[in-house]
Amino acid sequence: MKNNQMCAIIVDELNDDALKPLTNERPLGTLFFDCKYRLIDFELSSVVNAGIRNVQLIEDEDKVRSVFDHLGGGREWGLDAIGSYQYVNYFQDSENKKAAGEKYFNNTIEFLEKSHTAYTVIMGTRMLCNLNLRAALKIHKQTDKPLTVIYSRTDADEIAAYDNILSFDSLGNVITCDEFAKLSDQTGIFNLSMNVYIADTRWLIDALRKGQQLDAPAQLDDFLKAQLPKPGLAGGYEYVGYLQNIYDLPSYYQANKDMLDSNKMNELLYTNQRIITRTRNEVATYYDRHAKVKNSHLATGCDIYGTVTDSLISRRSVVDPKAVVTNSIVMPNARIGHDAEVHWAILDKNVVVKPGVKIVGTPDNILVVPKDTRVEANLSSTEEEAN
Amino acid sequence: MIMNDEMLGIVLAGGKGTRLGKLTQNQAKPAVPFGGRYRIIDFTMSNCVNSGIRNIGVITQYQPLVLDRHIGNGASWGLDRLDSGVTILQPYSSPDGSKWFAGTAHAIYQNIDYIDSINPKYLLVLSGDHIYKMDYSDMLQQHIDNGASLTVAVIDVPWEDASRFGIMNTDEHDRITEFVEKPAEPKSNHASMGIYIFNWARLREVLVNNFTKNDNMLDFGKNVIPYYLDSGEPVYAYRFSGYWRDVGTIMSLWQANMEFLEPNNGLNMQDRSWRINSRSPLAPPQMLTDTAEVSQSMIVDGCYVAGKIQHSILSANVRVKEGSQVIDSMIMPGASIGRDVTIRRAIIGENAVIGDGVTIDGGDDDIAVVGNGETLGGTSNEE
Repeated sequence: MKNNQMCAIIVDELNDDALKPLTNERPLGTLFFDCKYRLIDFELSSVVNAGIRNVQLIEDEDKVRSVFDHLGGGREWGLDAIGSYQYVNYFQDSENKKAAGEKYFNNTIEFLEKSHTAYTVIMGTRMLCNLNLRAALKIHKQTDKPLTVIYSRTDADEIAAYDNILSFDSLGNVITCDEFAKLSDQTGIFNLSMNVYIADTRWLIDALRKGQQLDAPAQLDDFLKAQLPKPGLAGGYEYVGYLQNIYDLPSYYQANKDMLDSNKMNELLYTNQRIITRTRNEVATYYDRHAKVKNSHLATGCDIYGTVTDSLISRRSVVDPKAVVTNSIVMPNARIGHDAEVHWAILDKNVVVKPGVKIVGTPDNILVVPKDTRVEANLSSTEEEAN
Repeated sequence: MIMNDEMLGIVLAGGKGTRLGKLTQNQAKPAVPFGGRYRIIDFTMSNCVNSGIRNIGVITQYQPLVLDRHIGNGASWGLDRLDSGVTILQPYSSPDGSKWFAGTAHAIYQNIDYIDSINPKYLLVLSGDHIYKMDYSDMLQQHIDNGASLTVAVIDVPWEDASRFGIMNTDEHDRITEFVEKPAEPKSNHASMGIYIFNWARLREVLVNNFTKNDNMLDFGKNVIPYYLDSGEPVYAYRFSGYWRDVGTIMSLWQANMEFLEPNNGLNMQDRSWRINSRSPLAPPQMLTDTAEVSQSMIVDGCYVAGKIQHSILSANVRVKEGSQVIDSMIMPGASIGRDVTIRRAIIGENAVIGDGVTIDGGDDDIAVVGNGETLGGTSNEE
């Protein structure tokens, strides 16, 4: 069987303001998830689990350091083998070229031509899921349309204003693709576009060539979105597994908390599609004789002397004696001091909570402590509102 | 740090480890899991890399599959670079017949072609079955300063244990005067750690000369070291005083794992300047449920814990269901423990399956062992 039928373009998310300060220095794709993953691991794993060997990433040039740091040479994903390559392109590149009147899709076209694959997958990083791209490709091949969009039947509560909602005719053709904010009725269940497309590569190259002459949108996802409603052009593939649309802090927090539910965790992490991430050499996590840990996930390299419940603790974090962490997400290398308390909070990387300090968020207002912060005085989300 | 291939590391990893019983039925001793995250050989491999050694030959013979897979291309230790590498040296056949390894020195002799291809000045011979951290470049420096032909690393053991070891008697300059294997009345307590630095040219000459005549130079301890001493070669002891454990028996393997749980056990695993690397499994984070109770224990990726874990180590992908308790035990990767199980003073082998309600207890003087892949008791089909 010919293995490389598809190549992939992973388009990281530009619209990440609602996740700041977590996305101040990193794109959505390298946001930590469930103690040891980054969100982009799910797209990359879907891609390599489908036997795809050619991958292009489109990133924000101002935040690319975090991406290179995580991916390295791509060894963990098998993308360093001969014949595989990652190729990084920048959102700004196509915008700048468009502004200068140059051919702004030429980098992408070159990647597509070099890949020599009949099909191309294009995916965003915002939809957390474990997608079987081989199955999706099978459906795409059965249609006679050059483009297939993957969607999920999703409740209005889990849809962002700028998400795209699809409608189909009785033959399964996409007939509309509209921003959720522009819909007149915003209640109920919608066909949420997951920003994942499978395209015939030949068609895509032609469309991009024509598009850049006709002033089409410079970003690939915007470009494809505009193609969808063209008569008879695009079909749909419904994804029915675990999905969390990550577009703001509550949805990001919820996605992590979902992993404490074994059914959801099994659906995302224990399918026959393995989720691959950067491997780290850490010692085992140590639980002291006074540690009390319930309903939590922990990565390796942690030392737990205090209490942790309903939380996710990333690698190399230390919870000192008598410290209490509940309902929180702790990113790598945090130190929660003696007698300190952390409730309903997200601590970014390298946060130090000084002994006795209390960080108290609420279920409706999760407190976020930015990277490298030393917290020396109490923080509470209710006080924050009062101020 | 050694700046070039002055010294080549050879890890003797072909031993059966008979005294580990069931745990080495399907794998060589150096591949036995340790400390939740490691296999025993990781300590030796990491020591080599941390000491600046860039090429390592790993000699395998007995049940090599798990070990070969673990070592792979050496990427886990950064040995997959342009100027470094790890080579698995297995027995092979040739026009001269089959080249099985009849002893430690014989294994070196059979692999002369490999060693010549690296062309080192010094040969570091290691056993892959000890738990310790050691800077071999310091040992090499002393070897050079002494003008030695052979340097043997020694550790002072308690006098009452000395008769269980190979003992090196030395003069006041640490030159070895006599080597006695398991002496009834030891004259010193300097025990050989099975770590040797040889001047390669001289060892090569000794091995070739002797093996062309007969097969009386099979083993380093029994033959080569006595020969060196008898022929007046400068043989020195290198004194090591850090944490070092021979984990050759069930009891010593269990004890070393229990010591590993002590925060100040002498290995200083948190020291990031001398990290012990291993092949990392691909597994989700560890999950502790509402019913979990974990104290004085170590747990790693892929574990699911709904029971009580006390003073124990859980390796990758271990499951412990509700109502079970694991006390003073070491659970190897992939083992699955059902409901209402009691495990005390035990080592549970890789991928073992313990059915609901089973009790495994080594008692106060012994350690119970469940073999790799062994199934005990009935298992429920609910999952």
